[in-house]
Amino acid sequence: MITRRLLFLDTQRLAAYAWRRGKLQPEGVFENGVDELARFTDYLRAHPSSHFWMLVNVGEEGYELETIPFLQGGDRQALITRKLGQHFLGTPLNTAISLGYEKTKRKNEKLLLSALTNPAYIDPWLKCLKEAGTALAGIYSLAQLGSRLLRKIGKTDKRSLLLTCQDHSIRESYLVDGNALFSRMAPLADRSIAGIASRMASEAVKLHQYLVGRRMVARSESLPVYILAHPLAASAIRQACNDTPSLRFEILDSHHVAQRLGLATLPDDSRAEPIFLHLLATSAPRQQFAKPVHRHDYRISQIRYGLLGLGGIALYCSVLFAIKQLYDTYDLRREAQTLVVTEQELDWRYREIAATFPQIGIDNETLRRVTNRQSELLLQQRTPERAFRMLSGALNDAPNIQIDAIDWALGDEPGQPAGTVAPAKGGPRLDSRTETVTLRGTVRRGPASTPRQTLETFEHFVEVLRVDRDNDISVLQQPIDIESGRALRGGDVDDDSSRPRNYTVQIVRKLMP
Amino acid sequence: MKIEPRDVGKLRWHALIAVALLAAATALTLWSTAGERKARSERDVEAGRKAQTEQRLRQVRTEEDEIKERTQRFQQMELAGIIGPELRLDWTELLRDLQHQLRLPGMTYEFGPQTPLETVSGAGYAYHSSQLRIQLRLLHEGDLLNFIERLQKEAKAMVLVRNCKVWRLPPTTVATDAAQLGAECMMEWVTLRRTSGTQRP
Repeated sequence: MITRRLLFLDTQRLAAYAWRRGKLQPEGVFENGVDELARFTDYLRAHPSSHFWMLVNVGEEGYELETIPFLQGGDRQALITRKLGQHFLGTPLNTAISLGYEKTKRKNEKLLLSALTNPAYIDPWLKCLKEAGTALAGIYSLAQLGSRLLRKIGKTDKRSLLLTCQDHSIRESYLVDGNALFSRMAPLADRSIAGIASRMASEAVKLHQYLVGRRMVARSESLPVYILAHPLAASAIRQACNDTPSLRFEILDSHHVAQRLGLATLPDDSRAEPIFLHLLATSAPRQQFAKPVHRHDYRISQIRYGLLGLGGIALYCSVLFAIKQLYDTYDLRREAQTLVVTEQELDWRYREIAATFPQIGIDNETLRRVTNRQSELLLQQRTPERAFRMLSGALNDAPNIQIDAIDWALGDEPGQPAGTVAPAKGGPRLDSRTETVTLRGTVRRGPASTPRQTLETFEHFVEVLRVDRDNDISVLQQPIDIESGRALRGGDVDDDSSRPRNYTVQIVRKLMP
Repeated sequence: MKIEPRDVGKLRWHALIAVALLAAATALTLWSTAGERKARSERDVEAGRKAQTEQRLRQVRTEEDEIKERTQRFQQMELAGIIGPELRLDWTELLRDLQHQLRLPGMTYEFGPQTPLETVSGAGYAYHSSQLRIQLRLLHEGDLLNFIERLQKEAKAMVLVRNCKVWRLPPTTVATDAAQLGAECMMEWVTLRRTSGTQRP
C-alpha cells in the first residue's frame, strides 16, 4: 500500500506529514541546517515505499503572462522552455499553464509562466530527497492550490483575491478563471488575532492597489476578497475588513472549509497549511515545478507498483476466469453424468427389446451388412442359360449358320479365353450388370452359293439376334471381308464358294434382375 | 524518462513478482481452460452416445420384422454351409458326384487360393471367395446348364459363374468318349467367415 506523505516548506523550515484517509499526522519538523538535513534524509529513508508531495510557501515566486503562436508537440514545448528560460533564468523549478487560445485568426496561445525563483533555498531539500531515493511526486505552490480551494467550496468568481495565513506569513493571491495570475507572501510579525485581522485588511488593500497599478484589475472593478480564518478569529477579521466599492470581503470559516474538503483533523488556529496539504493530497494540480530529474524515483516507484498492479490484475482476472471455468466444468460434468444415466436407461430398454429377437451372436448392423451383401451377390448368381436359349431361337431362324464356340462372360469385357481369368486386384469384382456372348462359327451354304447369298444369310442371322432389344450386337468378323480398307481376293475356282465362311459376333446383353 | 542501471535493482524484485503473478495467472487460466475443455469433450461424447442409443431405440421397433427376416436368412446361410471355413473336401466330393450323376465324359478342375471380397475393420464377418477353373467334356450344352444349376443349389458356398466357354470338339476326339463339346468355366465360390481384425486384400 502506498502511503502519501506531504512536505510543507516555508521560509524557515520543512514540516513532514503523513496523510491517511483525510487525517494529517505530523511526523517531523526540519530546520535548514546540515544536521537537520541529515535527519531529514534519515526520515525519508525510513519511508522508502511512500510517495511525497512538496508544498512550497516562499516569497520568491514569479508569474508572467505570455502569448505564443499556435504550435503543437515538440515545437510548442521547445518554445515554452525557451520562454521560461527567458523569464526565469537560473531556476529549473518552473512551469507553464495554458490559459487557452485567443479567438483571433492566428489562435495564439496564452500562457501563465510561473517559477520558484530561489532554487538555492529548495535545492538542499531536493538533494536529501535524491540521496534517499525518495519518490517525489511534485513540487507545488500555495497559489496553485488557492483557486482549487475556492472552486471546491463553490466560490467560482471570475476574478477574486484569496488571503490565507501561514506560520509567519500571509499568502495573498490574485485568481482569474481558476488560475493564480499573481501571488505574493507578506511577512506576519504579529500573530495575534487582532494583528492578523489588521494585517489581512491592509494587505488586501495593498494588493488591490498593486494590481490596479499593473493594470491587471480595472480601477472601477469590484473584487471579492476571500479570507480563510479560524472560527475564533473570524469576527475580529470581519470587523477589521470593511467593504469598499472595490473590495468585498468574505470570511471563510476554516473549520467549515476543512469539513467541506473532507479533512478529518480540523485546524487549531488560523494557519491554512492543513487545509492546503489536504487539498494537495486529494487533488493535486496537474502542473507542478519539479523537473523529471527530481521525479525520477517517483516514476520508478510508479513502474514498480505498476508491475505489481499488472501482475495482481492479471491474477485477479485469471482467478475470476478460473472460477467461471470451474463452474462451467462442474456444470458440464453434471450434464455428462445425467447423459450417462439417460443413455444407460435407453440402452437397457433397447436391450430389453433386442432380447426378443432371435439370438445368433451377431449385432444388427453386421447382420444388415452381411445380408445386404448376400442380396447383391445373389444378383450375380447367373448362368449362361438365357443366352443359350436366345441363341437357340436365333439358330432356328437361320439354319445355315453354324456355331463352333460360345464364349459367355459376365461384364462388359469380351469373354476372355477360358482359363485366363485372373482375380482383379484386391479380389474379384462381383458387380456386373451385363453379360457378353461371343460367337464363333461358319456360314454353310451349298456349293453353288454366291458370296452375296452367304452375306445375306449372315445378315439375316444378325438381324434375328437384334430382334431382342436387350442385345447390343457387334460383328467382329464378317464371313466375307468386303471392307474397302482390306484386300479382296477371288477367282474362277469352284472350291472357293463352297468353303465354310467364318464369322465372329459379339453380343452384349443387359442383365435382368 | 530513462532507466538507469541503479534503477534495475529497484525494479528487480517487483518485476520478478509481476512475472510470477503473470505466470500463476497464465497457469491458472490454462489449467481451468484445459479442465473445461476436457469436461466439454466428455459431455459431447456422452451426448453422442446417448443420441446413438436413442436412435437405435427409435429404430428397433420398426426394425423388429426386418431383423427377424435377416436373421432367418443368416441362419439359412449357416445351414447351407456358406458361413464358416471353406469345406473344400465337400466341394470336391460334390463335383465328383455331379460328374457321375450327369454322366459327364470328362472333368478337370482347380480351386485357387481364397481371397477376401471386402475389407472389414475390426472383428466381424467378411465375404471371401475361391476361384474355380473347371474344364468339362459334354454331350450337349444342356449338361453344362444342369451342372451349373446343381452346383448353385447343392454347393456349400455361393457359386457365382464368371464366364463359360463352350466349343465344338474336333471330330477326331469325339469317338473316344462320345463327348461332342468342350467347356471351360470360371466360378467364384463365395463363403462368409468371421475375421479377427482389419483385412486388406
